[in-house]
Amino acid sequence: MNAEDAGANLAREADESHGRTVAAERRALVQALILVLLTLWTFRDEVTKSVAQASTMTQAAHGLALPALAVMLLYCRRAELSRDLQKGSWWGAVLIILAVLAYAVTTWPFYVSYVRKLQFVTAFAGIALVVGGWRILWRCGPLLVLTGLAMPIGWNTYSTLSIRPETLTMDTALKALNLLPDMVVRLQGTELHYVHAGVQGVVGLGDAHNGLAAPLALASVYVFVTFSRVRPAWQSAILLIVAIPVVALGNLLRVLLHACLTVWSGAMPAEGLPRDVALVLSLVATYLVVAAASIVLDHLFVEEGGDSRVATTIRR
Amino acid sequence: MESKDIVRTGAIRRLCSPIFGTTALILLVAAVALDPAMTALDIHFRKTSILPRVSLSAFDAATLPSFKSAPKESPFLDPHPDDDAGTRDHVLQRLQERDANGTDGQVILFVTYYSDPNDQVPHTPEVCYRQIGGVVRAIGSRTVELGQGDWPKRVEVRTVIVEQELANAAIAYVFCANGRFYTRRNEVRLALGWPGDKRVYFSKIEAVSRFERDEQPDLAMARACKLLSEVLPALLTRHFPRQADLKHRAVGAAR
Repeated sequence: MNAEDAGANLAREADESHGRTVAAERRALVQALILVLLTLWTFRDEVTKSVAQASTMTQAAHGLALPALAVMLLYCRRAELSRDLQKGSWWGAVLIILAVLAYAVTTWPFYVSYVRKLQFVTAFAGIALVVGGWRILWRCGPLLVLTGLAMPIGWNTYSTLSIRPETLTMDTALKALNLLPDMVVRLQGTELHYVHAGVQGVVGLGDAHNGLAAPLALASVYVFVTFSRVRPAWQSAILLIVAIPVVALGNLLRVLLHACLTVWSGAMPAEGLPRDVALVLSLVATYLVVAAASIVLDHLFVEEGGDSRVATTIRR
Repeated sequence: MESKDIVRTGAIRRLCSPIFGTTALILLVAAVALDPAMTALDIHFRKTSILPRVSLSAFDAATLPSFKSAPKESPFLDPHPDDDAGTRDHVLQRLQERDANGTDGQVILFVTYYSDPNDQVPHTPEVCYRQIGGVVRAIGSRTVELGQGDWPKRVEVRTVIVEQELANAAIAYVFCANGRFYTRRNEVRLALGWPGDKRVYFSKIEAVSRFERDEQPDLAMARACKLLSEVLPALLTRHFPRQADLKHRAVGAAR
């Protein structure tokens, strides 16, 4: 065999290998789509309820963005997913059986809406295992977290969970607002009563449910930005550790902006515009903070490592 | 077989690995059978309601060893946030320690009774007091002693300190579902769904003791817990249904 034949053979093998990879990717994609559709059909009652809740409750509206975020996240991580694609695991089928059983039990006799909704996460984890094995499940972790964050939590559960962090947020906002000139603010329930330059008014921060809804939206943005690109595990770990303070500060910023916009525009206590503008600005701020943190981490990594593989990893 | 069919069969065979095929089959069966099965089970095992032995509106504070009815004019007490309790069977009384005078030693007793299995478990004070301007400052739990009787000797109750404009509130509350005590709404819901009993009731028993903004809440909370320790046996003895009556359906009750 001469060198030309050997080269042709190698090229043919590479083509065949590439063809097999593409075929495996396509097969995995079709299998995942079929299983997701079957899951949605099985849990159709909860799908209908969740979509209705997300469409009518502003505090759950970020859930509507889940499909788009999921597709974008998968697209951003496609190279990793393709590389880690393995034979499916039977544990996926076990997880799906568990999800179906848990869904059944929380339908009757123990109707617990939120636990029922969380079975989407269990089922999607099972699908990842069935389609691509354990490494794909690991890679799909952020997607599962986003799915969990998108599930609307019942009003009472939400209120109970939110009391402590919300009270802390409002107490801090109260102290910050009282530092402003000509401003006297006191907290009453979930409302801030203020006197500013002789004008009295109320900032309706909303009931308990509205108060902590924003952190879920902020956390969704955080998770999406953190995992929308491939980064070393230590970077992801650092970003996840600082997630809680960043989200808490984002929420505090939202409350402060809401209060300031209401006071300075003379808006009514429960007017939507100041609330919505404050939410959008706090989402943008959270996005910028995560993006800045990512850039800082990337630069630290390159400077300390000084290795060509590092640059390759980051470029990829 | 034509070549196109061979290609199609091969593609389907490659797509349907054993794991994928089994999982898809499981989901398919669940999609078709889950809803009808759950509906049938729900109808077959549906629990029915049960009335209290003596209506709660007939609750007699005179039977309590340490408390009496408070004088009607009580400027110290605000309206209770749950005045609209969603049930006719409830108690809302202002009580006072027997050795206290004026507005000292006052406690609001608020008990609601529900027996429709479809009734919502009522809101808890830490949630609803915020709706009327309260700021929750502490949430915890305490154990109250119920003494000797056909009931648990000790019961854990939930405690809440609420800061309000006029006077702060020390609140102690507990749920009772089919004779068992719980401190969280979800526990009550699980208890109501638990198979076994044929009939259900649930109740929220709440004691609210006010204290001045510059006072410590300890005394007020001790008073609220003391009231619960006396009220719970009274409710179990006179008002709430007997355990034996929960085991079978009411005569003529529809499934």
